[in-house]
Amino acid sequence: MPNVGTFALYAALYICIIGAAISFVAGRWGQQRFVLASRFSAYAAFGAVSVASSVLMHALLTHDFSIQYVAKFSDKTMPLFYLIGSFWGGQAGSLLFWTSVVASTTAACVYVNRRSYQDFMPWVIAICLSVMAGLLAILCFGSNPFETYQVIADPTKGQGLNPLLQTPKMVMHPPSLLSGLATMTIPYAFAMAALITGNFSNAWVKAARKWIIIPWFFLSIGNMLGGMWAYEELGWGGYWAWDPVENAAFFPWLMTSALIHSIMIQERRGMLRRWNIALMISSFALTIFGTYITRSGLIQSVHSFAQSEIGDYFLVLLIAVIVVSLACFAWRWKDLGVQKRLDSPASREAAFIFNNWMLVTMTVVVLFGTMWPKIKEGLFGSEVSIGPPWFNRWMVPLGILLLLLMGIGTIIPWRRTTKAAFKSQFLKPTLAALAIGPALVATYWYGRGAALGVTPTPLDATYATLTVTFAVFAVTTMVADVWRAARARGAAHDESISMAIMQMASKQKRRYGGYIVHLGIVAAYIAFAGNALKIEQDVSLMPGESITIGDYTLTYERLRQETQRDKVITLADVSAARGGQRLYTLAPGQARFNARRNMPTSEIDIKTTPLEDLYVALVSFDRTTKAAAFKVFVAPFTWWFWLGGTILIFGTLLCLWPSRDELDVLRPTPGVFARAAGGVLVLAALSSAPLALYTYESHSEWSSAERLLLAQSDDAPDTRGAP
Amino acid sequence: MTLALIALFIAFTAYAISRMIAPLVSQDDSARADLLSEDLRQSEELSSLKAMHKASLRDLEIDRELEKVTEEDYRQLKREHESRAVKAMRELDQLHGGRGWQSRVDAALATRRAELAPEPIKKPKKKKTPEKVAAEKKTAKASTHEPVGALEPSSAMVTCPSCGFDRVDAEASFCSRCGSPMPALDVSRSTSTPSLSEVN
Repeated sequence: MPNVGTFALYAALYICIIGAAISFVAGRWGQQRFVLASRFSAYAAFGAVSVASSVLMHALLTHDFSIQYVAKFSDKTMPLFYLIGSFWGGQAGSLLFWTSVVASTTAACVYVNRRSYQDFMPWVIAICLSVMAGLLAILCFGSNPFETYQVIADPTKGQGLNPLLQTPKMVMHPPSLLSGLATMTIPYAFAMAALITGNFSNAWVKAARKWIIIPWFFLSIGNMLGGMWAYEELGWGGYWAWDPVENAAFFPWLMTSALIHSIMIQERRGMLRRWNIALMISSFALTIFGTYITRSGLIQSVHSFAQSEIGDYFLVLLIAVIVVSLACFAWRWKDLGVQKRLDSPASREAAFIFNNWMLVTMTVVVLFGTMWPKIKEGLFGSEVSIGPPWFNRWMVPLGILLLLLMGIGTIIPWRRTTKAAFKSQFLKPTLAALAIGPALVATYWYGRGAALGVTPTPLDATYATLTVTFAVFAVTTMVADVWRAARARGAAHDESISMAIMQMASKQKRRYGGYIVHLGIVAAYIAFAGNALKIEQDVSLMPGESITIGDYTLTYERLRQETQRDKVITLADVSAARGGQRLYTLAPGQARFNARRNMPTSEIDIKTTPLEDLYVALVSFDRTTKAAAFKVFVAPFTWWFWLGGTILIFGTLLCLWPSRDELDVLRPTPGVFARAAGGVLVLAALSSAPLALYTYESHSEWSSAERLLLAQSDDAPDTRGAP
Repeated sequence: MTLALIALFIAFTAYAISRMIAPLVSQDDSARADLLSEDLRQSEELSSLKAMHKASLRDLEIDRELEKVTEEDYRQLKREHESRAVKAMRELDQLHGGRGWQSRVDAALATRRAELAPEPIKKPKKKKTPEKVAAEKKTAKASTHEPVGALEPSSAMVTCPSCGFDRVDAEASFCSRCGSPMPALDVSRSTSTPSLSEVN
């Protein structure tokens, strides 16, 4: 079976190279037979990569420890969910996952556009297959997931997945991020196709619009899940540490955010054509760059398990992408045409351009902060450390300015703002923000904040107040906009306000989906503002001892141990009280997995409310004396970050929701698909029937037979007791 | 199940490779026809431009309702988008043989049908009920294009060789469903001599 996987990888590489060449001919000379062949080369590449992926998944589920990757990243005691997660738990598997996402989205893009963008699609296929060829070359020659052991000394148990990764969020975090990075290939391919064909009408923007939102969506989820994991597993009480690998996933998110806004200007006013192409090239280059710095060992990070020896391959891929992209951009620089001038600095176009500059500046800041330590060490030999305080010093004011722009951009008119328009659009939201914002801050401070016993610095207090004020401004502008539109529509169509809003959301998904996304971002900003009042304490206690943090009294009660099938957890019961009244008991702990006893993991306990989180981590303990060291946080408004993420996901899905025309395109050409599907199914049935029978007889469940035996013989429930 | 998936993908890959190779080795002349003709490429680009300007006009109306554009700018932008959309539509018409091509085709078809159809037996006129009149009006409104006289598919319609749509006008240059070029027909010849054998 590993040979099938290796063969599939080489076959996919060969198909990609041939397919890219065929697509080049199709694009250059437009002959029907080459166009058809290029389309099916994309499908064939998808098929071959899927074979390789299926083989790896099969090997993981059947514990084929003759394959090194399976032995390194799985073991027989892992439940099915984590076995699937171990697919992307290691370097080679994550690269194969990335490649399969590129392959499947390329095939989907080819299918969706099989009757449109005739002059673009061959070039889009050529670019996508070239990128896939690069990734497959790395897989085949640098990091083959199907390498087997040479000597018959197969480990029979496997080393298991890194315990830090054995949480549901961490299983989902890599595929989300990898999907975000991989799906960036499609809009990049459309931008390159526009450069190559010289077609600078808005066709490439229209074709690529939804494909640009898809990577942004996955990067948002991936970054959020990473933050959740850091918050719940690492024990330092935060969700974003400006870690270099976190930043590597943040650059493309920032760039894509800028692009999503600036393509609107190109669609409506025909402006910013060069800018949009440059942004798209930068977004894709940053995905490769981020992967390079993560996997090359160039930067030190909590993600050090992602480092490998294939950094040089990614460097070559990065250089190739940059050289080809810049060459095409330079070639078409003049053809991209004279940009239309701004009519007024007080216009929506100007606001969007300023928004773009802000996001690009933030990208440059994060890039500088991430790379400068390495650059300085390389150039001058001296070490420098750039940590969260440096990043926050720049990013907080820039972020607050961006929040203000979010509100302005919603209501500022196109082309120019007259005095009358300013009065009608801006006056009420501004007054509301100036009145409600500080009032909310004061209400929180006197209602709850002062009781925490923390006095924020004047700068932190200013930032928090500005954040809340601008958040109120942004929300007010959106609500006012929706209300005005709903009233106008309700009057014109004799509809109730709620019906009008539903119809508006249905007919203008992009606009109102965008508003919902903005609401999610506003909620996240509330969480950021809460950091001004965050409290942290490190304490060491004996059983029965208490500490006070804010207005909480925490009492360490006892230490106990639980044994589960795959791990042993030591828990410390800590009761929380306020004003003499007992509230609840927290149980932070440490887990040691049976397969990796030398790598304990934190089991944080968090009591979450919309107002604040009480967060307790067990740092260390002494089994003999029962002394325990804790890290305790009170983090106001952290819950709003997760709420914001959920709202953002909902809004993005609304933007991505297909229209009726788009659904019609998905319907296959009569006869062709049915014939193809029928043929494939017959072949699959004939070839897989004996194998299906063999599989059924060998395995009665989707886990190892040995685990079933263990389950049957394991009559003892999970034990509790003192260590 | 993973083994079944592996088998399925192997079969799919084999099928896709065969379809990838087939057009390159096929002797069928139609498979070698140049799909990317300049007409089709322009037609697609113009349709895309037209749709884009229509969407911009829709957004402009909403912005005007929400006072996000001054009246002067609204009129100017509306003029710009409308003129570009109309220009795209006129260029599209030119690609299909000039404006009014469809009515010319319909007239030719009607003449041909009249020549072929037998003398109808005169029936007494039935008085139409108001419901029937309303239903007929509704049907007339729903149809996008009504050629004169009753259409018999086998005499006036042909089948598109690309997508299989069987209601393409016999004189059409492109399929009205998928846009593929139709085999060329001599319109002048068809008005005098029925040539149903050419339809396929």
